[in-house]
Amino acid sequence: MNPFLIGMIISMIAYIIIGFLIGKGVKSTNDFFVAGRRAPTFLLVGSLVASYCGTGLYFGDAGESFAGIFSPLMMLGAMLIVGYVLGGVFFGRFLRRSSCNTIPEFFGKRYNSPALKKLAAVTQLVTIIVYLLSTIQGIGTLMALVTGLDYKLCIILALITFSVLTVSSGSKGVLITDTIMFGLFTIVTVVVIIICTVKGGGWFNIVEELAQTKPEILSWAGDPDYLYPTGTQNMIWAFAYGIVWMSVCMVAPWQASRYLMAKNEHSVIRSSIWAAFFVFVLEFIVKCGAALLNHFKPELADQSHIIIWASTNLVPTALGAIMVTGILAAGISSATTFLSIIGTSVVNDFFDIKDERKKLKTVRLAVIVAAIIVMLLAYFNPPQVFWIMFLGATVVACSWLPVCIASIWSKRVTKTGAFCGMLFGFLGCGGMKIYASVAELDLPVFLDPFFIGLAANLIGMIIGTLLTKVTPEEKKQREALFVIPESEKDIKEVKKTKKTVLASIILGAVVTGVLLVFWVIPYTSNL
Amino acid sequence: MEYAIAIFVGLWISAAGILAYYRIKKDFADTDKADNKQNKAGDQK
Repeated sequence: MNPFLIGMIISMIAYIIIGFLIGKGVKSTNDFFVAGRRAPTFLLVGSLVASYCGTGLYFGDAGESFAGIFSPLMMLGAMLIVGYVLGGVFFGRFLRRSSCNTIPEFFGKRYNSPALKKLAAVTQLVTIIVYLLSTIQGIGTLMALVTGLDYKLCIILALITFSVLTVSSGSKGVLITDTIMFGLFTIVTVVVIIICTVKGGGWFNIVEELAQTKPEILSWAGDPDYLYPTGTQNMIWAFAYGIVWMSVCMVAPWQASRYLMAKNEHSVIRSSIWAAFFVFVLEFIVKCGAALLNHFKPELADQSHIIIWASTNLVPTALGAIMVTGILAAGISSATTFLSIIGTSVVNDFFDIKDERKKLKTVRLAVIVAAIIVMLLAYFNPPQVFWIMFLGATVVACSWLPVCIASIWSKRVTKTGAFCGMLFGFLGCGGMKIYASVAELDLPVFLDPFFIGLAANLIGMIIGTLLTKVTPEEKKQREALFVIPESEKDIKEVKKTKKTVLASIILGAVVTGVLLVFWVIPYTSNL
Repeated sequence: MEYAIAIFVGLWISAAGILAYYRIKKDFADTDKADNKQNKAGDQK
């Protein structure tokens, strides 16, 4: 029997069993929605990284890096980790302080606006469904590629796994399985890429060889005409999408909602710094590793399969099976997070159910319905993992980022301003994407939907704010966010948190060092 | 230009770290003062 199929089946059964065991301890919606608000730092780190890294990284980013835009993607990848550093300190800990169950609930409470809560919930739902679609397509592609099973059957199998896991154990189970999966895919990715480069003659030898034979692969400009025809345009795109993905890491529902489960605000801040570190490690290893696989000149039907090709051709079978299982884990961990958020939000933000048992039943039903909808979308649409993932991320950046920042740091933005900003950003970005897609336009970089959506958000926020005044209730809610609970003032905890945040300053130097040593210097000195 | 990218992203990350550190320092300034008072009292004893 196919060893990759065996590995996948064993892992899927294991996750389901873990889900059922944890599910026995889920007694209330507090457990299901926010894991009892007792999550320690390491579980938050595991869930943050696992919910971020999915099939998009291993297929989309790896494929594009292999094909010719490594440098723009690496710049984007290093920029985005700032989202964690800023997210924990400037947004996440305030979110946790609000004691809300969801981020839409937080907006509704902060601005005393049920309408804003509903709008946030709708935009969240749309964004997550889009992103979940990309993830399921990635999982289906992965399973079909390595096992030979039909793609549509693979989608159904994967869906059953993560739906059962989410329905049975909710956020508690998702946190624990996310952390297990994070450990698995991080370790095996580093090991496999190292072995592949050793097989190719060593990391530095491959970089030197590519500098001479295919310099465009590792060049700052990327391969011209792959994305945009000039390096400058590629860099503008990379900078813009560095901001987009920074926004995702800072405020996206599948990231910031982890902080709602933290045992305290120190866990929020520390976990965000650690997540920044681990996400950079994975971004660098996967993207640079994929680019270096050009050394082997594989014949690929689809460049997005490059990591799978390496796992099934360059490393021992057992290790390849673990790697493939690790990528599957990356996909499942993201999907379970998305489903748990959908279920929680449907019950918490759209309905007003008082009975605890009825709430739990409804949230489980919402998860199943969402899974079926996404399955049908994946069933009838061909995979476009990279671009659908980018669509979901862009919508978050355009509709949520300015409102999230303003909700904490602006005394002047009103509920009308926040509502208009979110709505205009969502429509501006989504509208531009749909128009460009239907009209089959190749937009110039400065008309990218990100710029249009962000501008629309800011215009909406400014107009809405100018036409209205901040109410006493809004003022009171904002002021309450800045009262630090006494329980957070333990001197030892504060010192430990400050040291962790200080480490993020050093992380900048580490990132520069890694890029210089492993890419820039060996590449440029052999041109 | 590759050098510029590597240095730029490092500065970008460190700048964020500096912002975050000073925010945390400001928010917990009272806790720091209380800690310093305790340490001084301990030293005097």
